[in-house]
Amino acid sequence: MLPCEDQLVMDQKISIAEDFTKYPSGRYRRNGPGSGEEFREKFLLPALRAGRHVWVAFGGAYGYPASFVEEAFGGLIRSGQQLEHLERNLTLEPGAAEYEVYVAQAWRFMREASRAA
Amino acid sequence: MIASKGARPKRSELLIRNWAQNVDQHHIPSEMVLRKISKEDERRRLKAGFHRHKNQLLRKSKQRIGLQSTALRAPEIFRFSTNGDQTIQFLRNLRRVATVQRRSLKRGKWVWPRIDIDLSKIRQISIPAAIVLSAEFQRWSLLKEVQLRPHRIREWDSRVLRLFSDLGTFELLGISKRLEPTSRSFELVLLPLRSGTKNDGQSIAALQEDLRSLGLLFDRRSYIFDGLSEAVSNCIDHAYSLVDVGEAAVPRVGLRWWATSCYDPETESLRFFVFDQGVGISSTLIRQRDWLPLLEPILKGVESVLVKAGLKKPDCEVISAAFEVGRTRTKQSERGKGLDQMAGVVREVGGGYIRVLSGRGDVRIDAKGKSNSRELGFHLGGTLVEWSVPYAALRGPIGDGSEDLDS
Repeated sequence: MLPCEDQLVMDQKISIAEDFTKYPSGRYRRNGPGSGEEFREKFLLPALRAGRHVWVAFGGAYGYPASFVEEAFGGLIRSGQQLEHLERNLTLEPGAAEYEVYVAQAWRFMREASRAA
Repeated sequence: MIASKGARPKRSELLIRNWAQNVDQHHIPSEMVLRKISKEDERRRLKAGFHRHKNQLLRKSKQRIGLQSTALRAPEIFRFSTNGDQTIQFLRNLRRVATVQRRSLKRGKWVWPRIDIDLSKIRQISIPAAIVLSAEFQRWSLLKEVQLRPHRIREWDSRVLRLFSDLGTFELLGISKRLEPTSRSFELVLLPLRSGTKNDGQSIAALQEDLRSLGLLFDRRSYIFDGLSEAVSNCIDHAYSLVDVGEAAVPRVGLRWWATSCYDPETESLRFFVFDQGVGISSTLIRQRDWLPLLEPILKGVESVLVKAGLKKPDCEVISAAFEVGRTRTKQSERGKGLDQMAGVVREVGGGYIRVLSGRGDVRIDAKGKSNSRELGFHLGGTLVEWSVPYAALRGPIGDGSEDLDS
């Protein structure tokens, strides 16, 4: 369920398709536009470090390659974020049934990165 | 001016004498016979005559000073599946000749060797083979090291003309006029070959969107985009990360990938292709430390000992094992996730196959994960990934606008 307007004042809602790109692709910035590294550094990390609750909407994009999802979300752990902190302050919204698999994938990558850290 | 008896006549006198002797034959006016030719005149005329003679000989022999020309003829069957060795050998010859005969400095001038590409013998050609050849044309077109010219193009088979015309290859060969095939007995819908050196999500998405814009009614699938995107990421991140000793001399054009898609009426399937000119999946995997322990249980016994000893493993077995690792292991490396997502395209559709031609390996995996593989005689010179999915499995309801991202 999406947060109500009052809650959104304290939180930050990010739509990957509308705020970043409809065609997320690739892992690193050097590989081209729309990379997982760019999304993490430009959108996710600044909002999380500012202490906000971050809502990320997956709907509307063409797809989510595994390398993008792993670098964007698994990379949060490698950037110093704690898994428990993310579980409290990060909400991933699929937006449609076809995007649920990507939400599950993102959480799996974060847990794997936490175990590997 | 007539020389004294016994003395050697001067050249100018000889010229006059010749003229005099030819007067009757050529009806030259008599007043011209007595005209004296100066030494300067004589020298100029001799020089001009020499150059005329030389140019005439050159025109007759069809040679140009300093320009090398080599003709390469493709085999009758230009397919990887039924004539892989001869097809790849032709590609290797093209690379070798173009690499050896690159532009050079001769007598203070740049010389551009010319390679005549003769495809007139081809009677059967596959789309994957046409893509790999088109990529090779583009490599040399970008490098500007040789001139590639089509040879005997009027004798090319109509399917060959159609494939290269649709792929946009004729422009790379310097043919501006589109050559229409004489017959259109097949209705293959093949998109122009796309190329890039960066991860370009929009270009990758266009491989589905352009087919839909041509009237093919099917729902775009996010997992097709994901698989194609992972293949492109593999090209950029891994394919060119090593220098293969065998292919070291062949110049590269950056971290380049090529991609296209088509509707194949013969199999009623949508086919997607991604190609790179790297060292091959097997070469890069073997050198990655985290992969060797994962591959060992699947490669088994003696084969893993060979790998540890650094001896060459069949590429097809390494590729099959890599896809098996990607499918079965939950604790996968980043590359394993990518390979699994590539194979996942046909798994999600529930039909079709993914085929990987990489190095010397040719591996085909169906929707149930069953794999068929074989080893080719020669290194392909890159990696070609092909997905073939049944068109019927992707068709959605007509007029459904829910897939339009811009609405």
